[in-house]
Amino acid sequence: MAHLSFRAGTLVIRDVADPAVLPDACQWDDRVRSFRAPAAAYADVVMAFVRRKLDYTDEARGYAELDGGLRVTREPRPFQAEGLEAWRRNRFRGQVILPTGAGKSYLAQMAIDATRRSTLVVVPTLDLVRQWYDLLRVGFGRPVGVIGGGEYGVEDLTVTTYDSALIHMENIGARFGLVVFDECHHLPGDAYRFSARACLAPFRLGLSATPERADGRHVDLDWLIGPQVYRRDVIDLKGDYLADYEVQRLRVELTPDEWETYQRNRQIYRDFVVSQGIRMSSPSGWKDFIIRASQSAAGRAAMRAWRAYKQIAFAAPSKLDYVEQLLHQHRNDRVLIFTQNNDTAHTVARRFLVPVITHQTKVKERSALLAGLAEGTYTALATSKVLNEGVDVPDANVAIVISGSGSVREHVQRLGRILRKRGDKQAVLYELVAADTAEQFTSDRRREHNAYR
Amino acid sequence: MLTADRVRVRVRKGELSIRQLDDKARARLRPAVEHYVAVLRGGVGRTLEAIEDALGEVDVPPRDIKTAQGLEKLLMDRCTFAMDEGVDPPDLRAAVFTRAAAARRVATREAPFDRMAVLAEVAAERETTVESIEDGLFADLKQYQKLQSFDVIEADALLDRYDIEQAKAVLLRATKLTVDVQFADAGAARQFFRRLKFRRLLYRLARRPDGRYHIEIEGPFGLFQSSTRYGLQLALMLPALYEAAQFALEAEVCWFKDRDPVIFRLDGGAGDDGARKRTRLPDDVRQLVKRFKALDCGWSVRSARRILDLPGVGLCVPDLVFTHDESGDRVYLEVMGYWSRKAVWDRVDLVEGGLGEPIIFALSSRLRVSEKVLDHELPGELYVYKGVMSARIIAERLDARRARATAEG
Repeated sequence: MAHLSFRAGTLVIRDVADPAVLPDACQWDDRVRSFRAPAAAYADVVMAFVRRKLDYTDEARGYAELDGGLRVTREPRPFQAEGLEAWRRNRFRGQVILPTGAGKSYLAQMAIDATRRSTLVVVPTLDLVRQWYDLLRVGFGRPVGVIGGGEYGVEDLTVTTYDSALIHMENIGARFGLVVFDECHHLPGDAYRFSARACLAPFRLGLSATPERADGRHVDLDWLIGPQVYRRDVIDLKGDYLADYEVQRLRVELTPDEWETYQRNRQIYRDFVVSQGIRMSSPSGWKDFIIRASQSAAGRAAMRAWRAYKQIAFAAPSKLDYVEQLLHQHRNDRVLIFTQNNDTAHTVARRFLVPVITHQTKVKERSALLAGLAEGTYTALATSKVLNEGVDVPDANVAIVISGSGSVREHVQRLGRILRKRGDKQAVLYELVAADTAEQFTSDRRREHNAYR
Repeated sequence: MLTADRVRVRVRKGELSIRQLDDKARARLRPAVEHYVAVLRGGVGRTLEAIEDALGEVDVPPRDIKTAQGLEKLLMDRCTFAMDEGVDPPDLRAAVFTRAAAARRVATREAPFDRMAVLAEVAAERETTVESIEDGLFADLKQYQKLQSFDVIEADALLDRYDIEQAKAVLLRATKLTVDVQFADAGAARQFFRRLKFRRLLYRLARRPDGRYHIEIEGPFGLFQSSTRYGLQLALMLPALYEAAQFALEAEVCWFKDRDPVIFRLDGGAGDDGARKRTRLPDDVRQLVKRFKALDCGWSVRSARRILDLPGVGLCVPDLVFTHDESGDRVYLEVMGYWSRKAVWDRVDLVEGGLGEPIIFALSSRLRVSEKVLDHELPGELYVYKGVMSARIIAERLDARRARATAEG
């Protein structure tokens, strides 16, 4: 009789009478004199045995059936019910794409309730671990395990980060029947995809507002999780289920001094790039620049110049002067200030004396700052990237984007932070763009989404 | 540890080799390294940002920039940065930002928000200056932390070890590794195998007729793709190999993205016994020893030095040996923890194949192996434990073995 076991993120299949029945993922491993497959092949292997009515013993499956479901339920929104049904029809595998603030987390809780299997939720940040921990504990009324941020506790409902999942999946990958990948666009990365492959869970749910990746690897989500089974965009839900919003792009004129410094440094950088024959538009352009810049004094000067002119575009004093006006105008609102990098976020924090959250901020302080913003102790919060996605800031109604990348996803996620419906909330996003600089093009690139049209 | 981008390599016909530091390069780099060391020696109390600026000003010949950056990285790894004692930046931030939010809420066009007034109020409350408030606000951030200590190394010593550090960095991208190794003694071999075991790297082990061991190491996922996820662990094995008398290593390395792996070969070995003696027992084994000694049960315990070898079948590397105080009878213990079921079956094969030494294999119940798989009459037995190993149960097993042996005459 065939025998299945889970070992270090893989499925070991011993004593197979007819290897032809095994799915393609299974390979003979001479080291253990058995067939072996990534643990993700578990469902296919079991199905292969069941279809042919072959007996097998299963020591691989380490997950439990939950003895209770959601304690607190509410009528799902129509698109949540449709999303769940589409996922159910695809044998509990696939991605559901919904905009930020539309209630993806509740849909995931409904999915856990529908499958009633031990569940692992994988999220990108510790903030989200904290958020999911609270949601699951209250929603299901049972202990919730946490892996990450110095904690290691495994329960039938467990939350972890992509980083911790990568480290621990080879040990815990058999413990869960359902795995939920929140912000699943992270999963196709070189390293993180291991977590999906080393996890045995036959049921898989991917959640994202913006699954598309610049490198095109979002197509791999189809086999890492399952295909996209349902999708709604911001524009579909605006007004009814998301806060109504407006976007204001503000061109900020640089002062003559700023403009001169900007142009001078940009020229130094441009001259170097041209002299080296580097094509910045090519995929390896930036890498080539980094390498060449480290090889000569002129290169190092070009790198300094690049940083200087970027810094002007990111945080020119004239831009920050305008932020002062906006903070005054919205002094009784809840404002999120987004910057391209941590240095600028700290500059904003120092200048306007507003709290700041970066990847360096400890969990305890982050929690206190987010609670302070919700309670009104603080009226504004600066951040670079860490609040881009996932973190729930329901009271925030104003976003000021001082600077950012050309990423559509980042820009849509930032908008999403202020869209959670609360009463008749009217949200507004200000995007400050240094006039007549390269930032104009960056801004054009990141606005290529229907949420901005 | 060096990162792969700091390593200088050449690749020819599918084989990767490290560009070692030759005498000329050492001579060119020595002044820069001496300068780095001087900056760090005299840098205690300076911020990371200031230190990095100072290191960045050191002149390096353009052709050596990559190596110099690597050497700088190794030196920075020897530094400890922390913020000054007595400063509590999160508390200070909470005070400043709370007061600022309140001030901004009541600001008007005529009486706008006054940043300096907020800072002055907090400074007055804390009986300090506005400058110290500003300095302390983000003093916990890495770039503002201060150098507390530097584990000094001289320039020549650093240059000497650079090639080993490069080799370790290459192994970060290794997907599998085979090594033929000759250990100075069984103790050195045991320490090495123990490290392998606790890193949970799947290995195949064979003893060659000339006494050397042939070891194949890789993670189980290597079967499906050339995975570098075990690279760090493979790299960490290198110092242990250098402690061996002699080794020849061959690794498959994914050096280029989206290209076939290349081969990296290395040999050496210094037989550094001093380093080996510093290796400690794993925590769970040490705890067991401590608890066992507290029992005072007529058996003594110490680290095992032997490797138990059954030619043609295999070998095992016990962790501890128990000696009966009166009779001098010895029983070995190998702690397998929750390592792998396959390893347990290998040990079962070994015992059933004729291993003569009395031995207990301790394994976690998570491996789901029954103690009954080994017959009581054999010299080996399994001890399956939940959670932590019990010293008392092991003592009982030892006594029962001795009683059986005595009864059998």
